[in-house]
Amino acid sequence: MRFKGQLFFCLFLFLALSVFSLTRIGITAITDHPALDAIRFGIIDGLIQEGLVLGQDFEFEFQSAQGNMSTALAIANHFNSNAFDLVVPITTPSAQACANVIKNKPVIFSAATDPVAASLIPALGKNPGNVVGVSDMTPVKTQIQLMKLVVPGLRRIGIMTNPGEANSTVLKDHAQIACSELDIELVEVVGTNTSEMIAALSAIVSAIDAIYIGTDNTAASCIESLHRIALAQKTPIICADISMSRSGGMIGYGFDYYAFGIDTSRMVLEIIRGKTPSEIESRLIGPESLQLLINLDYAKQIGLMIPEALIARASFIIENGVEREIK
Amino acid sequence: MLGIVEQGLILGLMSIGVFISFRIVNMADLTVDGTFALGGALCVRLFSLGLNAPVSLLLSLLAGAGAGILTGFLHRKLKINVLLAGILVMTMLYSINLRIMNGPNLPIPKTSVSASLGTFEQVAGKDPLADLFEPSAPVAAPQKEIAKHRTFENIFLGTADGQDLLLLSAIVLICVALTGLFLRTELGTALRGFGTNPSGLESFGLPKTLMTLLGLGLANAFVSLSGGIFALYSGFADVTMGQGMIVTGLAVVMLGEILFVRRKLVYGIFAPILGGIVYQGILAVVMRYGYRIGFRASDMKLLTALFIVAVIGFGLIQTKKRMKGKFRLSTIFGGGVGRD
Repeated sequence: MRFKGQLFFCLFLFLALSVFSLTRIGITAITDHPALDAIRFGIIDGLIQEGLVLGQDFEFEFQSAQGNMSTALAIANHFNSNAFDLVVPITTPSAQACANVIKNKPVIFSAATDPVAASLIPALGKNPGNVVGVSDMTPVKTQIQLMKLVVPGLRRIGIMTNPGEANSTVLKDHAQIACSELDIELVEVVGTNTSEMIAALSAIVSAIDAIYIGTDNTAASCIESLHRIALAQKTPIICADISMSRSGGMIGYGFDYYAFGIDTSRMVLEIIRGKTPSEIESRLIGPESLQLLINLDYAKQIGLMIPEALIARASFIIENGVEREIK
Repeated sequence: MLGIVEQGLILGLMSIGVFISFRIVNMADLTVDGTFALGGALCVRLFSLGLNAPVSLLLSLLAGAGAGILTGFLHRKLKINVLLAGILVMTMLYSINLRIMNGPNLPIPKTSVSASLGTFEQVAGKDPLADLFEPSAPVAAPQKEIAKHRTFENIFLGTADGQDLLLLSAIVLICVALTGLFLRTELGTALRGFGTNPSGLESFGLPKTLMTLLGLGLANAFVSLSGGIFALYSGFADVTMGQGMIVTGLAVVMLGEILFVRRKLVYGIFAPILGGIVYQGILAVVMRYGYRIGFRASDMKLLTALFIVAVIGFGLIQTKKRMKGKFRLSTIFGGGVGRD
């Protein structure tokens, strides 16, 4: 799929050289990861859905920094050349590198969870300067409330978190606030890589009533293993990411990263059509894009009843091994 | 173009550290990955606490030297293999860096109040599922004040008029000059001798331990300084910023040596700087044109490692030819500078 895209890109690049009204987009992410790839595909597909033709109206180049900050900065420098009209950095560190290097062309960040704390923008809304974008802040409190709704007598939640990930740490802080509001004890289950995380969960799973997973890349990479451990102890998992919950959550409430990319593409489109970044509001992905996934099989396996009122609100239900979408 | 040279200079400064540990004192020091991030983390933390940029850099340089000295201590006093000692200190630094930054990522502040976005409920308004739950009293997120009434003046402006380049060149030149002068002093000469023949030097009354601490301390001071400059230059520090730096640094050192045939000591120290600029140049070219032939930026790590293997392998063949079978291990890790 990705390889095919590259072939097309090569083809279009040559066609593109003769076209004038062409917007050249530089896309970068700090690492290669299914969720980040989904954002990228969403951005491209979103532009195509709006009637733009790849190779004729726009072309793009994707560079991954493979987790290396030095490379992230080199990529930002590369995108700063005349060959690019606008830059879309995905994730917080990539956005920071681009925002600091690129001063005279639009930088549209995507999936930086707290762009204000990361010094990308002073606040949401319109800001002076060339940086604008979409935050993937997720409704942490609602996610924890959902857990409270379905797990009777919920006292203790374990949160899977990698202290090395900026996004994950932000959500952990928010979960801490939400839990103190809801009178729940929050236990940090920490791992700096997948094997540490799996070991940490195995050690603590019997002492917690539910597992909360935010938009943590490390947890996303080992969700199948976490799922097995949780299932053995009849512990439910709630995820802040729909695609992650498909692979191992009982409840997922958040957004699809592909849809997130589509959402980002609208902002890119506004820039292509002539707006400047200071005319566009930086925002969250709106509440209307939130989706709810419920895995009834998982609930049955661990003996939990999901209230009918909640099932009625679901966007996706997994039952008897089949997922169906509810309009 | 300017950016490439600037980044090359920062990388070159880091590689001087690698050059000192691998070439001059002849030790494979892997602390580098940790000290680079330590330099960045500490520099940004101190800077946001209200110290000015040069002082922050200087203190992070000293902290880096401390980390190198710790590696040397573990190696000499506790008899831990130098590779393992480096990895141990690097691992410690990961946790320490998280403590220093109080999180994985710390941007250079622009205002005196550490702002944050706030929770989803605070900024997005009503959640679609809100009616399912009983309302609960919201707790306000604490706003932390970093430093009172301060504007933060970064030494790097991020403008394209060459000012940053000038400043970086000056820093690098001063560092190279000071190192060159130091290596000519009695102590510096001893350090170079130590890299070539540690036991022989001990017979002159210079203890191995002191030389190890000095060499690794100096090397990591450069790495940490470079990390601090990198963080100020790029506007943030991240706990993962040192990842893979040792391999990049080694490749840069070797690249510099190939491009720059070293006759005199001072040129030897310049080689990593040149290597750094060329390395960044190659990276830029790969990004610019490699993409069209299906080359991905993620292949760069493989290429860098293969390059190092090729240079070592080629060097070995050359030495074997020259020495007619008299093989010395030091030809791999010890270059020429220490012993000319």
